[in-house]
Amino acid sequence: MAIKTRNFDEARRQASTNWELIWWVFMRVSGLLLILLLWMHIYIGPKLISIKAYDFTLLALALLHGTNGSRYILDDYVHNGSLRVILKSTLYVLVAVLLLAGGLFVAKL
Amino acid sequence: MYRGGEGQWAYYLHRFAGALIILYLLLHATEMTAPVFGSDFAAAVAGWFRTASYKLLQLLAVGAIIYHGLNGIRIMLMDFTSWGTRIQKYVWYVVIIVFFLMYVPIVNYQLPQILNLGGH
Repeated sequence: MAIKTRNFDEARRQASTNWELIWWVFMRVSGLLLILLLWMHIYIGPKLISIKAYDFTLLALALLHGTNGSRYILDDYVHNGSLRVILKSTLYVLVAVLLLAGGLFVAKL
Repeated sequence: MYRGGEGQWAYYLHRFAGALIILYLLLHATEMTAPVFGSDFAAAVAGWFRTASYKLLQLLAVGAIIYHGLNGIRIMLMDFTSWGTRIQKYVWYVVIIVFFLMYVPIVNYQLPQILNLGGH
């Protein structure tokens, strides 16, 4: 279950599993990095930044942050168990395909 | 859990903006990596990514990203400082003001260009 709290000590107490706590920390760390990376992406422009590591880091962090956020939302609002599994699986497959595609695309640049 | 008020609005807007962003990101990542799925696929979808509808979604997503990022800073202040939660209500008003300062010029610049594309 998603952690809903306002500081790390509470988060540690609330975490149902170690992974849930790791995702809680990941959302904060990736969120901060995404602010910096996206600022460069939008204002400096994708044409000026064509560094493979930069592009792939941005894609991977954004997709993982967005997927985990979607997981929180689906867990909270989709009460039908089998529908929730279908929606989550579809999302995970889609994201895996796009991560792979992004990797292949960056590798060919 | 937030007993109504500013924090509640901040929370729902954060989720709504996040959902909009992941929707846009899935499309944008498809747009950028389309050649990987074959040149036929890339050619088939290229036109749609130039339509006014997609550009409009993009403009909305930029707004969502600005709010989500600013409010994300507010969340991190609550999580990692001793004073963030005490002043979160006021920080949210700062978030809203900075959001408008950043987003209005972008809309002002982009929207006329998108509307010039017409309904194509």
